[in-house]
Amino acid sequence: MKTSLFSGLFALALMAGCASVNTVEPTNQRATPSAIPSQVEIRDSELADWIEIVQVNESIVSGNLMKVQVEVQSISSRYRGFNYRFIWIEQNGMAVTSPDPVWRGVQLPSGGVQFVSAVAPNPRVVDFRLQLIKAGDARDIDLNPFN
Amino acid sequence: MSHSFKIIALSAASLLLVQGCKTPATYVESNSPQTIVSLDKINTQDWAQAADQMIISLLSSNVLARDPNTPTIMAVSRIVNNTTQLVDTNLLTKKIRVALNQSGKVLTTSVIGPGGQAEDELARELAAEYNYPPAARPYFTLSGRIIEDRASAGSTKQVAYIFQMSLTEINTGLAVWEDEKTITKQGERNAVGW
Repeated sequence: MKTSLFSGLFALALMAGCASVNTVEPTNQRATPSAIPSQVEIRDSELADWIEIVQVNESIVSGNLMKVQVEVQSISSRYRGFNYRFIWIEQNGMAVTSPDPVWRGVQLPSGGVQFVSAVAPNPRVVDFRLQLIKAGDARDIDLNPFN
Repeated sequence: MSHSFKIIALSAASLLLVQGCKTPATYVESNSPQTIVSLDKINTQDWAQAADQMIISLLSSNVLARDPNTPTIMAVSRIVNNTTQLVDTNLLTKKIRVALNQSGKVLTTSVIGPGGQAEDELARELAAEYNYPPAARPYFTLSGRIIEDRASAGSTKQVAYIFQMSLTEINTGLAVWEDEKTITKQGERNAVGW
């Protein structure tokens, strides 16, 4: 009795941990994205182990502003998160510092895909860099003693 | 005497020990994953992320091209705060204004505001005093609302902040762009880093 209960709980935990995204899409894709070649520099092998950059697309919005969309897929077996920000570079190689680049967080289920995108802050931008770091590593502290 | 001294020494040692274990204050990058995540307030990174998503959405929509003049002129209307916090909604609107301004697509009037209240009262007063021609007329207005939604399950708390924004074309009265972004935080207590 005890053994079967334990086995059931174990199987349930295993199933919960392995919940993955299932996807349905048209066989013949009608979208014609303007994909651009990209290079990836890996400094965190743990992050690289479960994140895959599927495609990088570029377009122009509002007349002359570069928009970039990066398709990121999780190949992890569990829900995981990462943070990212875009750095924008002007023709002279200088990074745009205003407005401040914004870090954003993403939580991805196993097999999940996220399209991270951003619009260049001004028309002088010609290049971009996407920086990704793994989420978490937060040190929990009780900030409010009355919580 | 000796007993009192022992007590004082012990108290001092305990205090030092407690102080020694506390994390000293340090500078962190604003809006970065090093910042604090609170379950009872809109954090600085929440404002930044909400504004950033609104800017991407607005510029991607290409609606600013409805005004034949570039840059178009925009006035900021009311941002209604429907949260339990007393917040300065400039934390949202200023970020959007700065980004739109630097994109070269939008100039914001600071002498026209809701209820006749200008952001820059002095500029309006001086314009009247010097008999300047009327201020440039805005083509769009930006309005919005911030809503809070709370839930809990056992000791786990969840708070969602919903940011709603509309861009209205004044000559038609139509909201030509609208968007809603939600930021949801969950946990049992506040945390450093995310």
